[in-house]
Amino acid sequence: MNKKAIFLPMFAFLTVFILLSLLYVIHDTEAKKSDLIGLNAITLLKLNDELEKNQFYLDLAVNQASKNALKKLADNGGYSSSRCEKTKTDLIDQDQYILLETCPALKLEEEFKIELKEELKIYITIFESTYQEINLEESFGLKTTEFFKLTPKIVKINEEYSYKNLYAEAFRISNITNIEKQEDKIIITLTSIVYPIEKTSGSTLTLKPKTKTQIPDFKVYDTVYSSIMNNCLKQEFQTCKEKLIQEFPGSELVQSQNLIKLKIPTDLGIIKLAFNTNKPIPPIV
Amino acid sequence: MFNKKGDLGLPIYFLPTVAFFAIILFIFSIFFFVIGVTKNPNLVINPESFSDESKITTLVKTQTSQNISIAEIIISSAKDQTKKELLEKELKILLSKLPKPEARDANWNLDIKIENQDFLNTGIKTVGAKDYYKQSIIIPLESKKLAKLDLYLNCYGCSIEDIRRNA
Repeated sequence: MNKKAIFLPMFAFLTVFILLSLLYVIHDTEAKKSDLIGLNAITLLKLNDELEKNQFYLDLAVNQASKNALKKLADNGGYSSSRCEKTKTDLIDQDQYILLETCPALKLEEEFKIELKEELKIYITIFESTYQEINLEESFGLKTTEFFKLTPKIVKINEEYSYKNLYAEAFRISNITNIEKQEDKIIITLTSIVYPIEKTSGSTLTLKPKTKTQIPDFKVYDTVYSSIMNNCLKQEFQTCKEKLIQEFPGSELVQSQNLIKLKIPTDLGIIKLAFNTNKPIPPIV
Repeated sequence: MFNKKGDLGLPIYFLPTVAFFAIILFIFSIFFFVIGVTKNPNLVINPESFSDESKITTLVKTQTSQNISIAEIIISSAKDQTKKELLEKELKILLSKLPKPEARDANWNLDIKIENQDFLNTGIKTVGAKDYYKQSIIIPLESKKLAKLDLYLNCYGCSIEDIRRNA
């Protein structure tokens, strides 16, 4: 074979070599890139939705907490739980009433804040997340590509350590840091909640939860307390009963010795309290 | 076999060489164009996966004819069953306004569960249909229970294109 004659077969073998090298270099370089295009955007979007839903939950929860707090206040004559001593239950009346003579001056907004905080904390601790982790099979069709071994195999995470649980737990452990009055509203601030973004390394989104609720109108307590003071202290039980029922229809009064047990249905709940007709009642501040 | 000017053996090795060359090109074209090893292996997300959960958030915040939001009606109807009718009526109006593939048998559904018990199912479900765009939200109730809302598009015979275009 002369020199010219070997060019064609040599070219054929050289082509094989060049193509193999090209294949190796391209595959090796591309394999190092492990991004799933669009994954970061979608996880960010999903987490943003989750944060919006969490904030919405908090806004609804504070309204429910406010309603429940008002009921509890009414049940304790306007005071937060365990502020005053209570009557003992008996066979006739299983309800317990606060003893007004054992209570400090009534600061309704302060008492409301205490009860609201307690109630809201319950709602925060029962929170559940609806976050759905991204389905890589649906979103990227990973099953087919796994066949060609182009991407690493996906390891399924235990439900306990899922992002859904992680986000729910992050919300549940947040604390109420501040409750302050601003005009006719109460502003509630919680500790910042840091949410790790799904399938990223170290990226986070922070929610600084803040919510507000209307300060209720406590005028009815002023009326009730004034009415007790004017119509019941050092007065006959019958006079007291008639006057209170006239002023607050549907009221129930029961006397045992010098103690009067009272239930008054109002818009803020059924105000329940007991007072001694011979002792002064605490003022409303 | 070979003279000095040229290659007399050319007819002997030309055909096998060309055949070999063709085989090589064929094999490599499979690698490059069919398997696509030159393509970036990074996978691009399907457009239909690129959806947010804004529909359900907007739905529960929507003010109704009663001047209260859907979420508030849910809360009050959980307490007072007589308000359930009003809730159902308002939900039907809202669900009918959500975009859906018109040419298909598609309906938006909203299921409400309280403590995993069915409370209300609104919408029409078709047998054999698939659910798309499932979105959920939690609403706290006065009783300190949680209501879970699931919103989804139930569609029979919808293709991805139908969903992408209309919903």
